[in-house]
Amino acid sequence: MDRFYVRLAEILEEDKVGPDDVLASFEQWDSLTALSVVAMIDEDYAVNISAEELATARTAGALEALVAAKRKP
Amino acid sequence: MNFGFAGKRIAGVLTVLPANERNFTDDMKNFDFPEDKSLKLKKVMGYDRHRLVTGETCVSDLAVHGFRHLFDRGVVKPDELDALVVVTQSPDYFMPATSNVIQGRLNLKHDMLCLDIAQGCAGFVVGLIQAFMMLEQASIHKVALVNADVLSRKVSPRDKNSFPLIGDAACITIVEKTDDRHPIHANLKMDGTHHDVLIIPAGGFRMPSTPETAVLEDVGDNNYRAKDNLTMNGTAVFNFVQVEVPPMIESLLQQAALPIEQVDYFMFHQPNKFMLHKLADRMRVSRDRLPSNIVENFGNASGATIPTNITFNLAQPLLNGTLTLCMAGFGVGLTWASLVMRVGQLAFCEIIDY
Repeated sequence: MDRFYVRLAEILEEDKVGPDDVLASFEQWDSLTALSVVAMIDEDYAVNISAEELATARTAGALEALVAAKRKP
Repeated sequence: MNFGFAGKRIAGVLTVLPANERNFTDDMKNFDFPEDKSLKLKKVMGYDRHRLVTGETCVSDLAVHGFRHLFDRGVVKPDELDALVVVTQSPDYFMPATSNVIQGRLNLKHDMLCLDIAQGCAGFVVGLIQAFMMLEQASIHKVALVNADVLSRKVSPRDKNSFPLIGDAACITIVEKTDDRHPIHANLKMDGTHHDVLIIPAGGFRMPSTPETAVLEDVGDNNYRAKDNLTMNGTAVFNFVQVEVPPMIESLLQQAALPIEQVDYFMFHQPNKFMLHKLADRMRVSRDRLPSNIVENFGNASGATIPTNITFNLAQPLLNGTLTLCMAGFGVGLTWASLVMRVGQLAFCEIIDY
């Protein structure tokens, strides 16, 4: 799921994003960025993440795990 | 729930916009937010200009102005109107109905059915379904459908979730009987368990307005709004639209036995450019067949966005010919509704200022 981190980095306007990075620590993290992340996950992984679910994912890795869990039927 | 009609047509569409225009650069000054982030919001969501009423302008003021224009032009005769349906979330009064206020201000005949419907973003489709049902009656030949809202008066200028996109407008659509038996298909669903996703918490009987409900509160993310203000859970709305709207359209076109290529335009409610682009992509419809330029030009005026989309983008083709249009509205309620029909040739299709 390397592509996940590439897409996340694009949205966050960072060179690189890793699994241990805390989402709220990014300078660009705000409600618009959160919506862009929700839209990206919807588009690329056909998974709907609610704002509440997104708030439970502290790190990029936790978000990736959330998406992976929701992809499983 | 599916609906089917025949022998009905749209005769014309008029949009009335407040002349007062604000732009995003003005709005930004009220936000407690870094400029570069505000500019990013503008770019991603496609915000630019929007039309807002000034002072205490009400729905009936915009609508009466529009009707007088149509009567003066001679494209609608007052005595021909048998029903007046007003779809609004911002009525002049709790009582009486705004449709009665408009009927009275225009001195329309008494032999008339006036009806208000409390609907928002899906209000054009819900209003058309209601108008078509009325036209099944022998005594009703012509219905005036008004979709109007002045919700900017309920949005906090310091709420960057809602203020940059809000717009005010009134649209008048004349719907009538016709010998053309071309079928009209519609469907709609509602989910009241999420009625709090788009809500004005105070000001009704549940939580009457008080000095306390007017106090701006820090609601996080540098936004400030009061209980008297409109509040929207943007992410929840986004998810709801992406999940519910594409299957609704698929089911509608199946019901109509209409291949998607035969739809000329998808005239959808206009929440913002971002959401409409995602919707077009998900439906695998090219973005030029699903116009998304209403919010950047006029703002999102709830149920008025679909008719404004028509008057702004399709006036010439519809004054000169016929198009197959698939319309869809989605939002407050929650409500999602769609309708496919042939539209045109219209007697009028224009935008005027108030």
